[in-house]
Amino acid sequence: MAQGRPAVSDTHDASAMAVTNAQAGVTFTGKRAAFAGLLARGSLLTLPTLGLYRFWLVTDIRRHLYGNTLIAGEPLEYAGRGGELLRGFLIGMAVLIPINLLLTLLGLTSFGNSGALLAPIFVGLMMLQHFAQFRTFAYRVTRTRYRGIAGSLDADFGGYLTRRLGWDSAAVLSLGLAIPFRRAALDRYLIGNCRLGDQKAQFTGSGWGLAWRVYFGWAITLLVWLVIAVLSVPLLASLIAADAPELDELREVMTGSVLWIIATVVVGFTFYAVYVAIWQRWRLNHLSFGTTRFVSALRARQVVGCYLRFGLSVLAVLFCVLALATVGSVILTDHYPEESLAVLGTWEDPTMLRNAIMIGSILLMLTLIGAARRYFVERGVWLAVTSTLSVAQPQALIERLRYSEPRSAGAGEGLADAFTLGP
Amino acid sequence: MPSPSARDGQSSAPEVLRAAYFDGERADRQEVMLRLPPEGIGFSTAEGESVFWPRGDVHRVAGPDDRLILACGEARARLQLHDREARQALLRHLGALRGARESARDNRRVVFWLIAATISILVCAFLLIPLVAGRVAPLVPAGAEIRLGNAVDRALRDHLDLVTCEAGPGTEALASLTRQLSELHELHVDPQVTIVARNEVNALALPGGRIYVFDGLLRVVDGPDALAGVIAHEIGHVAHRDGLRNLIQAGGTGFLLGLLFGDFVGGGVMGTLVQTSLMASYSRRQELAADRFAAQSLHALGRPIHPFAGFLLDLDDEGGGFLATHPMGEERESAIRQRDPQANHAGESRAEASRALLTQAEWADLREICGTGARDPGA
Repeated sequence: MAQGRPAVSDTHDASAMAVTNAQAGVTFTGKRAAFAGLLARGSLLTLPTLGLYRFWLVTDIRRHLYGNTLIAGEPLEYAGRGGELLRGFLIGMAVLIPINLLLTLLGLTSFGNSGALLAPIFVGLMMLQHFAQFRTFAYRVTRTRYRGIAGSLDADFGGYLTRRLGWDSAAVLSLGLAIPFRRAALDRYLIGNCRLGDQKAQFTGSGWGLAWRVYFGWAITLLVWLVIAVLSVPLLASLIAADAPELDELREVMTGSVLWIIATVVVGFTFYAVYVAIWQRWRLNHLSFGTTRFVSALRARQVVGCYLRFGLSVLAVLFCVLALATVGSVILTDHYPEESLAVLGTWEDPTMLRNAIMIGSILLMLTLIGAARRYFVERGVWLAVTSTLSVAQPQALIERLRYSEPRSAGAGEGLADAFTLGP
Repeated sequence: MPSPSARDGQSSAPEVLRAAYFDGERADRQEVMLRLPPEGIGFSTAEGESVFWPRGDVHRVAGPDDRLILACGEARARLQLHDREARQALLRHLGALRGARESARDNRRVVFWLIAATISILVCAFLLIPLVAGRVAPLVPAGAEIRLGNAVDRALRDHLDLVTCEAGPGTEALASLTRQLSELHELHVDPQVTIVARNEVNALALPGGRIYVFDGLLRVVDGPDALAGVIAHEIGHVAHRDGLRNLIQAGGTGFLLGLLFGDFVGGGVMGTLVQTSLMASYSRRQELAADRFAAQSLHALGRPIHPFAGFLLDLDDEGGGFLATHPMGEERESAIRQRDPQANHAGESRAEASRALLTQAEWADLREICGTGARDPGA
């Protein structure tokens, strides 16, 4: 009967506090089917609206991911809206249309001799891109809520831009070796200036702390790939030496530039995935609110697995579409040669219908690949990060946490959607 | 867990439900008891403050499956119900109001407007821009058109790996033929005809008056009159500024679709696709107009039209195409003949009387402009 009347929770939770005070897990409760369902619906609507629905799809996805992430028993909430993203996109377009028009005219009228004008435009576009990335971060922070309390960002664009420009030059000059230091400096500024309600985040990550992990991760990745390459040499050699004529095409592919392109893409993506894993783990491990700390046990292989599944699904999509196209064209040209020629035309002389089919299938393919990326990478990495995360002493933060007026209100991701940045 | 104070057991919804409340000011969770009056949800906070949420403003917030999260309007406060029966009771209570159904209607409205916007953009891309291109093309100064043509030429040379044949006595014969044809008209640019060392039966005109005739075509035509017809046809495209118009159209459409797709990469892909599909062909009307132009030119020079008409007909039989952008051989052939009925009788005799466009020797030189006849003439 004691539970019958309104009770103050703190006494009720007193026994639970001992447990939560030590360490509370972060759990992700989203079902695969629910995510696939909203992805399918959103993709189906994105196609006929030529991509405009993507803002609502992205919003649905974030609501699902945030809403199913429970920290110390309570879910995060994503408070952004599709309409906000669309408005940001339109504002971005209003800025970009004149620039794009100017570039087009310059390119068409005075081809080679417009370098003097192109340089400032390039610099301008770069600034816009930095601004877009900054706005994206600010938007997501301000749209994140926990227990009814919203995040906010005290950083300003000027501070971000000076750090960004300096560290970008350093990264280029050091041939990429300064990338971890650049990341650390930007995170210190961005994350260190985040607030949840009235509680300021503390970020203690250092450049060296990230750098040695990244270099080490990259070295191991390189080693793994070298071993794979060495092991595959005999296979390649035997393939080249074999005099089976039916292998000719395969051999041509394997010895040509295609092999190098595939190898570069695969190795490049692995390096990127390893970097993402190390970086996420490092940044979460150095984030704290007073005595409340985050502890991440994210493994690189989990993130690499996400990208691997995505790569395989892209291959599957390409294969299916190509197979469908081949079978379709063989059936048409074998059984209805005249009709298909009349309706579709030839490859050199296509009819509108053939063009429409071509454009349609490319759009379909891009949509499928986009959906695969959202499922395997966006959801996969989120799942990997949240399911390996725990929070030490969450109750300390929860007891102190109060609402506070956010400094930057944030009105959409703005230009970010014009450049389609970020995950 | 339904509250013990529910008035009559199972038959009606319990009137008091247990919920967790986050007030939006503090992060800690309060246990509250919800009352369900017909106009909405009411409860008292831990501080004893009485809160009322009107039914119309209450909406669901996305969360885990094990709970129902509610918000009221734009306020930061949240209510959470874990108990399955309590959740069902509350949803029943709110069911007639702003629940999941309402947001589905919002969503349908968004989708409706998005599809309307898409249709209007497509109308712009495929109807309005061609219209605008037709109006804008005549206003472009000749100097700008030439610069544009040079840019297209550079791209084309890179893309097709074009090698031009510009040596030997054939060049003079070609220049003479071009001069005779272009002197007939007041053109805004100077047509420059060049032979390209490629085996396709093809010819094309770029904005700015640059005309490429493929060596393959040179080897298929019967004589100078048919070749003159082909060149006059391309000069017709130049005079009508068809290339410029198509370029403006393709650029505009690509630009618009690029904007729609938002990102520069995706837009670039779509833009290029549309551009190539549009650039690949002149419209049927543009072709027929250029044919008429060619027929008039030949007529003005007092030369017969039937070699050119025959060439168009032959192309049709081969099934290929004069650049594959010049289909409908038969239709065009009869259009030319209708256009100029005297050509068959009076024109013939006049043609006999007028001077040939090229001498036998000049024609032989021209045919060999890309080197000795090592190539199969039919190729």
